[in-house]
Amino acid sequence: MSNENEANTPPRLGADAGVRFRLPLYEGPLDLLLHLLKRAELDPHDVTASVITEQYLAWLELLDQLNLDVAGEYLVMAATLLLIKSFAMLPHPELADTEEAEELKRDLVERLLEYQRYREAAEKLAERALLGRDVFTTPGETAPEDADAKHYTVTIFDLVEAIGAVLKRVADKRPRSIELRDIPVAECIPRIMRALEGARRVQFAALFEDAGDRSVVIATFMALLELIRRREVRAFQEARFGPIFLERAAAGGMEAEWKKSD
Amino acid sequence: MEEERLKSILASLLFAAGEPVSLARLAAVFDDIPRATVQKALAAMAAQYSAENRGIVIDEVAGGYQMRTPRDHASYVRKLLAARPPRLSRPLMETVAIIAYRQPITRPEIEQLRGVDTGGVLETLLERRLVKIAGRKDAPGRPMLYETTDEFLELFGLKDLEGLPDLSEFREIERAVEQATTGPVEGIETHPEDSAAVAETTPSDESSEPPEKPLPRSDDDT
Repeated sequence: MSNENEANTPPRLGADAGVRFRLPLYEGPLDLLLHLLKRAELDPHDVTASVITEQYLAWLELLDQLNLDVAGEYLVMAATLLLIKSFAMLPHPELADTEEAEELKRDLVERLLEYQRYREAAEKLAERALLGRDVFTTPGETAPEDADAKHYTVTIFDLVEAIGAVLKRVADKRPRSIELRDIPVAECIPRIMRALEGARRVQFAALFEDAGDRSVVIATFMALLELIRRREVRAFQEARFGPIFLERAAAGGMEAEWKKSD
Repeated sequence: MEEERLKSILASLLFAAGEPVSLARLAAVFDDIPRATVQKALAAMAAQYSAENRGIVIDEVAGGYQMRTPRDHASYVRKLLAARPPRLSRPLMETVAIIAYRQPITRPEIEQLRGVDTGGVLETLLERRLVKIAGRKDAPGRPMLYETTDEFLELFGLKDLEGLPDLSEFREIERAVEQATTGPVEGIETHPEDSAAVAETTPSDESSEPPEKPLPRSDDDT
């Protein structure tokens, strides 16, 4: 604060001031509403009580004054609360409006209650005997943390760089004949998975060894990116700038590893 | 093979595996012992270990059997291992709970329930392998479906999804809807798919809630 005065900054730091922060205090408008209700010793059914609407809006204003970014969801909720309130204040509400207001309110109460249920469930889960916190087991060879620690995660840039090298190698092979082929990416996926099934891990470059031309290389690469995105395949290095390896990752990844080591 | 020897070998298997091992995999180790015999031996071991306070319990977790330290030894084990307990933030817990009870579920559906963007949390859950992609929903945009993994069950010490703590009564919501409805009743929106999903995971919802386990919570969490 004092710093601000000294620096003779513009008196108002508005939305255009550049620096905005996000406050992780509340996990969204539903969380904030539940908090306000609890503090006011009210029930989710009373969410439309004007005291709650006022406090909600005051809170948003405070965030704005503190130069904290308010996520869009908070504003949508504010609009909903105000809309419900405005309906309630109409002197001669027509039937249609009342119905709409009731429906809005009902939806909101329902959402709050539902959210509350999952929040309670989350708390119950967190109280359970957690592996690594409350209970422990022998590390075996399968602890995921260990497996990850040994490896460096490969970024998309590493992969692009690696495919660049593969493409360069392919370009050197002069084609004897030119044929136009469409290679659907989807067809490459099972081929990659088959290659990974046979071995615990496969080197990135080896995946392209029998790919004759650029289009096959590119289609295979796109398929690989899709598999990585879907977390069915994991790319890693054992040393920085070392060769990139691929392994099956997703569900059952651990299971498969176990069976092989049997 | 006599039972004592079987139990002794099973102890070695569980110790060496570390992870939960299914009955099928355990039984496959022995050539001539029926699965039921192995199962009986495991049950006897589990009872014996906890009755004798052996410092190791045999839990049924994630569809298998696993050797674990009992919860009331946590502070000692933690001290020895200097282990960092898994970090479970509230958004992470909320999200994984929603996925657990409602799986398979899409990201927009999760966000509708939580009221906030969930991309970052989902990313973390996928990275920690607590959640995986279950396919795509047959809906516009073919959004991805998420479901919990065996690692999720293992982390929370659950035998299967049936073991999830009960959600608070669904009736409460129905009551709320009734209360909120002062106007015509015809407008009540029901979500059949919602109640179906809940009914599926918590079939015992009708019965009274199970008593909260009075598990000791150690205070030396650092």
